[in-house]
Amino acid sequence: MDRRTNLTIWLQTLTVLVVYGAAIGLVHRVWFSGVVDSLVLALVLAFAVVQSIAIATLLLALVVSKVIVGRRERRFRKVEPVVRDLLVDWMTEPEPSEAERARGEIESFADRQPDAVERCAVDLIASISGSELVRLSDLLVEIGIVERWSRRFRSRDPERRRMAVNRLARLPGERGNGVLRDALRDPEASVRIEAARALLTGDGIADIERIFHLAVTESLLVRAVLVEDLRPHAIRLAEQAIPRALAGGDPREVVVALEMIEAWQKSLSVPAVAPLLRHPRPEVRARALRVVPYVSGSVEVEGDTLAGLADPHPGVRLAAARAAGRIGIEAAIPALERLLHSRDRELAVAAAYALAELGDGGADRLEAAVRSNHSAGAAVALEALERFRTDRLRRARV
Amino acid sequence: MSGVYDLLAPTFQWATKAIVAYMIGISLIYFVMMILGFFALRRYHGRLLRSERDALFRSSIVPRISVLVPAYNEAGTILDSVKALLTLRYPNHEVVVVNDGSVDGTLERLIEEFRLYRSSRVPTGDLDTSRIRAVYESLDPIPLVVVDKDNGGKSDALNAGLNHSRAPIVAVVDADSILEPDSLLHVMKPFLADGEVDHTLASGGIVRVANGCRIEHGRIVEVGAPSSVLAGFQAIEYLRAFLGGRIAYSFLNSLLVISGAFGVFRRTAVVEAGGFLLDTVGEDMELVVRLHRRWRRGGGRDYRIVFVPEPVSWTEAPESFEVLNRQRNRWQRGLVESLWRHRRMMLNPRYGVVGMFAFPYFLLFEMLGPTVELAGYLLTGVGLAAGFVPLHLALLFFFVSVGFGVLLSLSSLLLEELTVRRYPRPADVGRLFLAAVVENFGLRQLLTVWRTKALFDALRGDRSWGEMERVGFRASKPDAGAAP
Repeated sequence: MDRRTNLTIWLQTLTVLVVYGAAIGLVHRVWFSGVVDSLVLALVLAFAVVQSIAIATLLLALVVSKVIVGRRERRFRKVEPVVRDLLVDWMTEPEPSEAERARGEIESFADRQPDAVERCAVDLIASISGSELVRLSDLLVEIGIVERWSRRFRSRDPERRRMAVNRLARLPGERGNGVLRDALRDPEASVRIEAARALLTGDGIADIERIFHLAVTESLLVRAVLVEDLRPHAIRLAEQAIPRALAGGDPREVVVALEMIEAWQKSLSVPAVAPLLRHPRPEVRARALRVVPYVSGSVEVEGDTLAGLADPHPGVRLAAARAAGRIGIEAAIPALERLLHSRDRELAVAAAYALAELGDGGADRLEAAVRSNHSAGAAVALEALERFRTDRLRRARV
Repeated sequence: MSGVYDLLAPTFQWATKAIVAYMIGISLIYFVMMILGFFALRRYHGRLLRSERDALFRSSIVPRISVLVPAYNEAGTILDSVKALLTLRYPNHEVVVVNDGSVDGTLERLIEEFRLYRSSRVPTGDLDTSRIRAVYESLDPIPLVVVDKDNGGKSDALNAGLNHSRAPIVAVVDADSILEPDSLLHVMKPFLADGEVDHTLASGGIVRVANGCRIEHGRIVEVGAPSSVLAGFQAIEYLRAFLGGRIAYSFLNSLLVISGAFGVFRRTAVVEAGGFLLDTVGEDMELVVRLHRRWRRGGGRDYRIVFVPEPVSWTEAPESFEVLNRQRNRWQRGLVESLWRHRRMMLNPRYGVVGMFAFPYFLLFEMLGPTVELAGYLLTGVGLAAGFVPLHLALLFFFVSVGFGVLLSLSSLLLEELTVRRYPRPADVGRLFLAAVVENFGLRQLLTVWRTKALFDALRGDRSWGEMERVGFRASKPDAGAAP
């Protein structure tokens, strides 16, 4: 929570305490001050009364709200079939006069029970497409339902804003996109996510690139939600947006962009990755090495991967070991064999698995390590060999 | 005779007044925490929506989690538990069961059911543990690892699990806990929402009482309030603890407890802190306090230990007085041990709000509270009978102990209904409201006696766990549940 939210919570708490204090004082003065001799006892009794009243009031409010919601639901259930039929008539009726009649009645319902019209329309939108969807959406614009959603987006309540974005996201074409683009700058992450996912269902490259940029600059939560939605657009993003992100000066954004490429596991043409293998920041080098198997297999990259195996930073060595195994760089076998005996157990395991992926040459070295006296190296080598063979057995069985 | 009266009456009155002042203090702080928690909860917009959870479930960049399950003589429940854990909705998790020297066939059941083979998987951690006998993995593509080791206790088993886990995040789960299907996604949210740096060290969620719920294959399929009186009391107690206090503590970044039933930790943080401590019965609280201590020391690193106000785990509450007594005794001793072990944090400004507020609160109210309250009952009762304490003072004590207790219990139940709302049937809510009132007349007093005894047991250095016989979730269990 940010400082402002924290302050608001403290102020609200303080306000409630002041109100409680005043109420206790009042109850004490009216009921107990002349009756109970002990001041403390009188105050305690006053507190008990105030708190009991508060509990009873909240309980009553809870019951009343449940009753109101129940009544609204019953009213909606009553008009739902009628409104739904009218909306279907409007969408499908070939006779203009009949369609206009339906429209007139929908407008009348929208004046009296806008929530019911909104709910029915939202339910319908989810199950229609093509010209019917366009016709219904136009009607919602004309009778003011879309305006209601746009107004709701200006609410201070994030949940209402998110719901507004959710509704606007269902409209075809550009009808809700203006608000959706504004929503990408919303202070609440869930609103931004909702808007981004909606815009990704469109085909505009500008929106897709905008959302890729959003994902790269946001928290892992936002990225994790968006990464799969962005996957179908990976090849188009590789043309401009990804190279732009990789060329940016912020190492964090570079790392995140590389993370997205790795997550997609798609073969992409991104020449901008190769120079990052020599980036001054170790986290960038390490992440670039993890992406190498998906973007290129050039000799230059092989050389940098081999250099990565001797990198002073353990995270880079780890990534280089994994990359060497994935790409199948046989020249890495001696270096991987050395890493097998590393004191960093995670690195040793990665080296062993990489050797297992390098075919007979790697397997021979693992078997030699198992037979050697170096117990730590022998243990990880055995694990890798065993995993390699178990996986092969599973695949064969499948 | 009159001389004795003149001496004893003022002493009794003074002591009773002091206890009343103390009880008013504890109630007011609790009340303020509850209001703070209410507003913090209202501002909590972090609830993951169904669509977001679905997207995360498909996502390939959520961090991997190792779910550590220490198991000692869990043959009756282990298969259902492991199956439920393996099918949690999380895209990238492995289950690491640590068989802590069970003698009831727990390991054999796992080997048979999951077609385990003796694997060569090496540990990547260096925490000291009892001897590891073997590590098993499945011949099928199931992300399950079973570490078989000599018996060494829960902390030792967790450390063995940490050594054999390969994920950056570890979830610690009791073998008899029932997790909500999306629980890992919920508790991972603070880790995912971290900005540039990994601030979040640990997170936990709401643990609820499973008694009264319908359970099938290790999953809650229908939520209901407990039918037994004792479990009903505990359901209220859990609500009070989680909705009343933890949200506020989390808001103040001074959460001292993440329930041992289900908590999630950054593995490097736990390893850096030295893993779970062996010679304690309150390893969950002790670890969290140690993390605070380590991260706040020397100027303090920016970190968060977070409570997620989502129901994530269900535990079966004891339904016999004997077992409840043993459980509460262990919790109280764990509390005392943690506070004593880290006593240097007490009122130490270096530790910020943890040292200046959370620690004194836990010492004064959680640790000493039951003893002071018990003293209040004795003083008031004897004093009233002997005429040393006037009626109004006795009434005052009754109101601030029992009366305030009823109001706080009702308030937490109301908070539940206003926010989380997990009991769908009005009859269940009604039953819990009744339990919230009745628990203050008898059980509360019994608990003060048990917890006072536990305080003295802890001071004597008792570190026993008690028996842990489990024969199946629906069957009666002598020592179930986790500290709320």
